[in-house]
Amino acid sequence: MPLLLAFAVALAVRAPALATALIRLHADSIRFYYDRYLIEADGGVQVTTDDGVSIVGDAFSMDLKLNRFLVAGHVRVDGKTGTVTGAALADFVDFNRIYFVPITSEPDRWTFLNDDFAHPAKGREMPGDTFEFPDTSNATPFLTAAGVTIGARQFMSFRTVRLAALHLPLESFYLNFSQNPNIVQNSLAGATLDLTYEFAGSANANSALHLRYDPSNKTYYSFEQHFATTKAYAAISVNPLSRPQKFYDLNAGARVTPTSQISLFAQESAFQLGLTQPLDAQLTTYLTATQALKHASIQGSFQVTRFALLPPPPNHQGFYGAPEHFWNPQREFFGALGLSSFPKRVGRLPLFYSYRYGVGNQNDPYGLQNYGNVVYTSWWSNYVGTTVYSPGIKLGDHDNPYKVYTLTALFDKQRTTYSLPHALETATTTVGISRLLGSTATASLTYSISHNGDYYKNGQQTAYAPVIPVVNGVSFPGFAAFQGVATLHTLSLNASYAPSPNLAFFMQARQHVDFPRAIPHLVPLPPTNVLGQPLIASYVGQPPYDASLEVRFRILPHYALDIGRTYYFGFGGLRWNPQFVVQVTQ
Amino acid sequence: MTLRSAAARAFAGLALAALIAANAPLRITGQLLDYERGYVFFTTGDGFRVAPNVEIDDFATGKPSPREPRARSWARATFDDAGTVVKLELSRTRLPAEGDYAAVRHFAVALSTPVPNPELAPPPSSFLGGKHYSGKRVTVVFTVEVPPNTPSTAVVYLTTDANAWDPQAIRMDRLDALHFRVVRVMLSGTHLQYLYTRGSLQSVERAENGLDRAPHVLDLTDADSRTVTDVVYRWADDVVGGTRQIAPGTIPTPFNPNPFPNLPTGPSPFPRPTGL
Repeated sequence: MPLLLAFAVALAVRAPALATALIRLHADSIRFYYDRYLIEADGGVQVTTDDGVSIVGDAFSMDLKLNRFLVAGHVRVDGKTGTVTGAALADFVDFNRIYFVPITSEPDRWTFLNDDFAHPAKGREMPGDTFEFPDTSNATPFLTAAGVTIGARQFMSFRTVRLAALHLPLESFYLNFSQNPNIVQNSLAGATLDLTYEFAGSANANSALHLRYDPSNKTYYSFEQHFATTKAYAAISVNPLSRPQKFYDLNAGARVTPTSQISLFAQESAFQLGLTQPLDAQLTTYLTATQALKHASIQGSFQVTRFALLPPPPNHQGFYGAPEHFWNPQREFFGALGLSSFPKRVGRLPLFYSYRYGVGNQNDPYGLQNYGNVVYTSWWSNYVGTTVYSPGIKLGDHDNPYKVYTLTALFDKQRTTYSLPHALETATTTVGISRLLGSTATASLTYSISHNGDYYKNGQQTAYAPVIPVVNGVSFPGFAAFQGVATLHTLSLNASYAPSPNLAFFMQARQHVDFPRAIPHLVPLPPTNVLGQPLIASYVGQPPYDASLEVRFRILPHYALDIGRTYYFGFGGLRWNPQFVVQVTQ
Repeated sequence: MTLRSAAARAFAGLALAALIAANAPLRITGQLLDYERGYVFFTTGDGFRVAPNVEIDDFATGKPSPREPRARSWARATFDDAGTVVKLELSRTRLPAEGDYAAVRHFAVALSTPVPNPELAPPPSSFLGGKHYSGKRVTVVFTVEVPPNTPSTAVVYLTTDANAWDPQAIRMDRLDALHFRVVRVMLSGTHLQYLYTRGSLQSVERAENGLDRAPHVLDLTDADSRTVTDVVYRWADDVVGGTRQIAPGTIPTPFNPNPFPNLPTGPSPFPRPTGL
């Protein structure tokens, strides 16, 4: 892990730092209006810029989106060329224009062009709104502070802060508003609620504490550190920090050349009380490298898992602390190299196709599979696949967008063969039709057939020997017909209604007619993430009917609440999914 | 009432108004930038001379103001005939517009002769490509075509620089297996950078060549409505063989070729051998 960490940080810092103008502000009262990206300050205003200019005055105002600031009232400017005093100064940072109202023997109007303080353009006409204060009379500040460092168009870092809504004093508060999405790359798992406190940072890095809640871990703390440039990033986290089962995550990526990039995700899972010696620890690393070609791309993907990072237990009992922390020296490796073509259009038809091919190797010294009384510790595989699809054929009244039906169709097939003599074949055909129901509602109907076969050479009956499950004393002999080939038919109705940007409803109702037929209580519901969302969309044994409803509404200007739940129409006595999906988002 | 008498009354009214206007003191309201060294400055940037015995009152009570004029204060300024401010009435809150600012502007003091600023000339239409940005409300319809391997239960979001790149900032509505859509109202002049995600930055869109892509840019000009149509070619969590990376935070599981892992344990290959 330390090596990976060093590698990731090196990736993040190898690219040049983001250039940004720094503005440091101290004042008796500093207010930040989050919804308008305004910083207003009054009393004892002191501004210093990274080019050595110091400005004092009575009031300060900065529009962070327009990237311009104003200092007004008893203004004194100290620069390399001396000191000048006046009524107000406005710096339009993006344009390298500083507008100044000096008072020498009388007031005047000067414009400093391109930071040339020695040669002001006197009397030059100024933009009409140069010295306007924004109207904040009906606005409530998000926070107040005594000092702030502003990285123009990048970040702000406040000191001696009080969050207005919570009356919560904080030593520091950092906010990033960069146009570079790399700075928010994260390595944390999802959570129902995540209150983030970014307490330190710059244009290229920030540190954050998270107060989180999810149904599995309940309330807990996490820590995350970000590094970013325009071409590389690294995010490192400990999550949950306040629970014994911790995940140390690293998520990093870099554009190595204009046509290639690598990304890395490493996760160390450790059971430890506080930060003491773990009772078990394992590490999984995913490394992906992508090379762009003219009409395709090549991707290498590697996954290595070490189930024991700790040395063998000294007590020869095979575990640390308790038996559930058994020491497992197993290691696994999976690597694959694949080529994917860009989508290509078939003549002038509304039809596209792409293809893919690849090879892979999987290795586990303790055995991957026992077949034919042979324990396979390694196998090779290769796959070939293609996708053909039509993204949209318009039917109906083309002049009226609300009376047009859009027909989509896609077909995907892939065959993967293994050195252990079997092959997986998947074929999926989907046809859908959709329509806008006015400007606020949509509806679509989709029918999908997914065929999944696992074919063993001369051993189908061995690999998939007939099984007659018995559930609650009832046997289901029909299941014995299943011999490794399944077909899933899914009819899906989707609808959404969003009467306003602050309120939206979503619905998905599905009917599954599958082979083998679903048997109540034979197959558990699919695994979910911490939010309760299923990790797989369709699977063998799913209930014949399900309907998912979700509503999203804004509870605060910066927060929205999503609530969703699935209904199974009494299949095996199952009605509502035990879990709500609840999430607070920005 | 005859026409003649009506006209006479109107004329008399106008004459009275003109008489009152001629004797009325010049007054303007505005927000202050500064008050020092015998001058008061408004947010227009103009500085006016202040009489040595200027009267400084509270606007609401009409009594002498307990505080000095300062930046951000609202004030009503009264000028004498020479253009000197003889009275300032201060308010903490915005004052209704009063007076004709053009009538007092020539009283503003400036040492230098005004010089035109070529940067403030209206740009030629070719400069902005004929674009106009008035700040009017524009209905923007984003429609995106997603890759064919997008899961049927996937939710697609817009993440933007205006939302600090929150990967679930704007949820889109599913139109069909390959299309999502969302309608937003924005102001013309908005310069938005955005990307499509499936809910996290690990599942953000990638370029057709499989590499990270630069954000899309929307430069919103004046219009009643605007349609934005994009294509997502790949997702960042696509990996070779069509399998997807495991999301951070989930317990890692090794690659498993078993196509039916959810089925009950039974003959080989269910489950994977253990205890070897």
